[in-house]
Amino acid sequence: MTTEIRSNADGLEFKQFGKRYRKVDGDDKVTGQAVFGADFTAKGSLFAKIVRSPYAHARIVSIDTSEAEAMAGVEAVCTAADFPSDVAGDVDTGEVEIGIQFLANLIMGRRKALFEGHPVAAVAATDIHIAEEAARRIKIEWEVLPAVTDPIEAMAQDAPLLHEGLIATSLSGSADAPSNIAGHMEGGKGDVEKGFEESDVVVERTYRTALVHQGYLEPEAETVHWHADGRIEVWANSQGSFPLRQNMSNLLGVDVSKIKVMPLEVGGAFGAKNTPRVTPIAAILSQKAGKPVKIVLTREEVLKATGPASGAVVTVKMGATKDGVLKAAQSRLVFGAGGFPGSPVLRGMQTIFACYQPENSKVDAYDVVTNAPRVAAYRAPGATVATFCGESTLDDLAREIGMDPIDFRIKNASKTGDSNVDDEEYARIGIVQMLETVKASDEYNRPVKASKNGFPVGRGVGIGWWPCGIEISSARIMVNHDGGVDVTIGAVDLHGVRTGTAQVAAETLGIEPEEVYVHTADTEGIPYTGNAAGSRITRTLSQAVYKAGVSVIDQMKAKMAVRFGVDAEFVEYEGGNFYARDNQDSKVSFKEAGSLVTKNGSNIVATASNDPGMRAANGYAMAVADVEVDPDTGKVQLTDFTLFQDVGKCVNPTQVESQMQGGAVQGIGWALSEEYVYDDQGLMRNASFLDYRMPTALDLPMINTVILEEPADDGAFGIRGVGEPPIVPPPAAIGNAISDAVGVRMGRLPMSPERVFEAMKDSSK
Amino acid sequence: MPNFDYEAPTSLMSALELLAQPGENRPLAGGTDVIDQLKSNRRNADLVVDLKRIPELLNIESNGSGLHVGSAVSCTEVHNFTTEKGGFAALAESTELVGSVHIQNRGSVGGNVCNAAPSADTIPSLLIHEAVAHTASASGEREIPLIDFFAGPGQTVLEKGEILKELVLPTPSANTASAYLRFIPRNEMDIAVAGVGSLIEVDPSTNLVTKARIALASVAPTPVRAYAAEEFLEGTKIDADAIDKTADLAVGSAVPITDVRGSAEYRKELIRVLTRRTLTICLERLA
Repeated sequence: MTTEIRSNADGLEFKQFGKRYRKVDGDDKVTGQAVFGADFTAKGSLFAKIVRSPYAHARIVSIDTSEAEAMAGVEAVCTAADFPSDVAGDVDTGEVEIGIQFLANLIMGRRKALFEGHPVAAVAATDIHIAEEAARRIKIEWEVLPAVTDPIEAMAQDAPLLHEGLIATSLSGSADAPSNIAGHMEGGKGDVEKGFEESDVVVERTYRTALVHQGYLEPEAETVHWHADGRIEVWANSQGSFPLRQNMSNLLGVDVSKIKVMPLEVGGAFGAKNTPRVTPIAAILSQKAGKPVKIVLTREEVLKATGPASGAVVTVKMGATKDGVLKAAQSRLVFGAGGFPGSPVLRGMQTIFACYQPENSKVDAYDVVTNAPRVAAYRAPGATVATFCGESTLDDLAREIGMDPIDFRIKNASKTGDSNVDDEEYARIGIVQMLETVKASDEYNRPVKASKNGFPVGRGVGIGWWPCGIEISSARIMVNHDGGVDVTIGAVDLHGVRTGTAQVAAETLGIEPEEVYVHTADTEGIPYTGNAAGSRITRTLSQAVYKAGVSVIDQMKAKMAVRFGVDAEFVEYEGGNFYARDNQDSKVSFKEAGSLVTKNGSNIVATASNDPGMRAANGYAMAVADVEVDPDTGKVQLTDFTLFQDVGKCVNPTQVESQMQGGAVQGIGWALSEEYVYDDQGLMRNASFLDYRMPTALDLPMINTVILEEPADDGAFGIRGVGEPPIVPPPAAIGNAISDAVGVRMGRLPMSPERVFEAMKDSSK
Repeated sequence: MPNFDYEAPTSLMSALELLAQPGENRPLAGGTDVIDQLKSNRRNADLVVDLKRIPELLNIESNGSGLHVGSAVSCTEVHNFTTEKGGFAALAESTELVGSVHIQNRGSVGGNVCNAAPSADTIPSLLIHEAVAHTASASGEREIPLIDFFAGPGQTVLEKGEILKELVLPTPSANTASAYLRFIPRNEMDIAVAGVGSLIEVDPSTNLVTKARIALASVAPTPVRAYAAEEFLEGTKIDADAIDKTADLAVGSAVPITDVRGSAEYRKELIRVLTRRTLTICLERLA
């Protein structure tokens, strides 16, 4: 491991930060003791199987559930008819949004199935084998309709129409007729035509990317018990207990306070588990059966019918002068949303040129429905695709004007106070500093290692930007009778939240992380906390913990003042000890003081949330990738890879590294091997981990990490989001490395062996 | 997955009796294919007969008549045995490629053969080493040259109640070398887009090839031999030009389909590359 921290943190020094504190949930996870969704079975639980559309686009003529209902062991069957038909209110599905009526129809298809695997019925039985057999006995008469999975084909006037009432909206108003275009968004500044005229070199390319899946280890697995008195208990496999409760309330028409969501350990989510998929189905079945109902999806169901990331078609045009001034940048982004509107194309539009300040820019973004699974958030949704397209074009432009690609980037880089195509002004950022760090690094300057096979080798870079989210996080700190500290949080722990929170609480309270025990509460145990999404938890939760911690210290000072016989304002807390200002010998440790002041039934407790006005701290990461390319087969082997990321302030390097490595590896899979393959009927041909190829350990070199610290403006500790930015630059860096190695510009993801082979063959013609 | 019965007999005779019973009865020699096929409803079974406790099916030995591999011997054991004894380099290589380490520990070479996937990694190696399948059923035994063992994708010439008992590979001469290479987009846990096993015997005094065997995976409904390439190479002095010509001829024996793992054209190109590379490795091994 070659991790190092290069800090520019202006004296922001914290005793408990930068330490490789042991992951508090690690032992349970590596020994198999941790309870995940599939591990939990409620007493008397039924097991459910979802009946799914075998067609990509089909009208439901009739559903006959009678034979299934008559089977011994079957206790409930449901279809869309059992769900509330009029739903209202907001739903929170994280960084990729969906309207509530669309969400209801996504969860249980009504009248029409819009993608292969779209749920249309479900069965709950005393065991899963009976449920599976009963699911097969539900007779559905279908009217199969032509399907379209490609977003460009879906935009055509004669394309099969998914939603008869879907009218595109844009800045210039609404379209006249329904189409598969759900929305058209525009952004930019200046006059791009003028910018291209003033350019010495203009490069224009079109790129195409496939749908990809988050590939989380744990399939969706949930249990719901709808009690006879109307209370609903949910043992959840979700990124946010409170958003799930809110969504369930609106989808089912039940008061929020009647729903209790209890988070279990989550085996990976990456944005996908912000969208409720099986919970409402389990709820309706439980209501009908009067017993708890458990649903665990198979991997095939996960791939075919949960929320992957959009496939896209993106055109990028960039122009610059010979001396490296980026005169104009233009892009047209078309993102497939799957069966219902709401792809992250807006995020693609925000991120594609975010690291730069072209003098003129224009971005058009189209959200298009297709007969594919409705997309969900996936780690910096939209940014990875947009960055691949933007950075590939920019690299070619730099080569054509004969400028070092990093110098060209530095010359045009965004700085603090600049604004993006959406006119959002950047808070403190250090993009130039990152580019200069990479330019000076050994990773960028040392020669690319020669291939043992004698194959061509190359190196590429790419930088990517992600705004990161904010929302609300809440924490409660309570001092126990033995002086130990409980911290209760509402955030689901997807990646080290409990460990980082222990460090933040220890830092705030002047004690050691081992003296802090962090609990994840259910929805009755703590105020509202948003989804663990958008790289936002450590940034927001640390401020909540800090505020609660300051209150705890104040309360303890007031109580110690009575013991010291002075006014509270004369009590100091320093170096882990309380003392009366005029008596240094009066020192009492936090633990001792905690025990003393809570003895006679007196509580020390404080609850806080982060400031609602807190701003997103922009994140950005840069990758340096070395590859060798087999000239006979087109297979690309990554031989060296380093990710540089600005995390603002690093709480726990081990956890930051693993976020960086995990994100980088997902980006590498996206670059080289992962894709949904559809046939002309719109059916997925590779719905297993055999043919949906995520990288294995043997496919990867060590992912080296360099942590940079340019602290964020606000928040208690200068922390930026960490989770999402690492996935953004890898495909761009790898595409640029392939170009460096064999001189071909890859316009499609993944850059699989056959595609690289074909591209090399075409270029040698 | 529908319910099925399970038996784990400890003698070959009782296994054959169980398999001869009416109904759909499936032998299991590791289970890494059949369990997955049952779970995903791609195959059905009334009865699964586990062969992993039958001593003669677990035997691997090398004697005067060649290498004997019991049909339930795991890929790992075959790999270790052939690596230690030498003489079957292609088989040693291919048994280390099947699936993953876990699958190699559990799955058998016999199972890989009987599953009869066109992409099976061990089959080209067995074909170039001229393996003979010894089968057994309640009504008797048969010896079938392995090249005649396959009837189509997932299909063999085994009859109801008949199982593969062992594979017998003649001991190659000292002047023989073999190699197996497959192409996969990843570096493990994958299925061959194309695979090539090559074996050559070269007369050291003349440098002429006295025997050539080339077998291809994933480019036809069954594993196939590249006869035209073999015929060309036999009697030829092997050098880079001869290898290129052989590789071109091997492509002619490939009749691949286009599917999610690769196009027909790409697979043909891979046969050319892999034939060239395996023959080059054989030459290095003979040097």
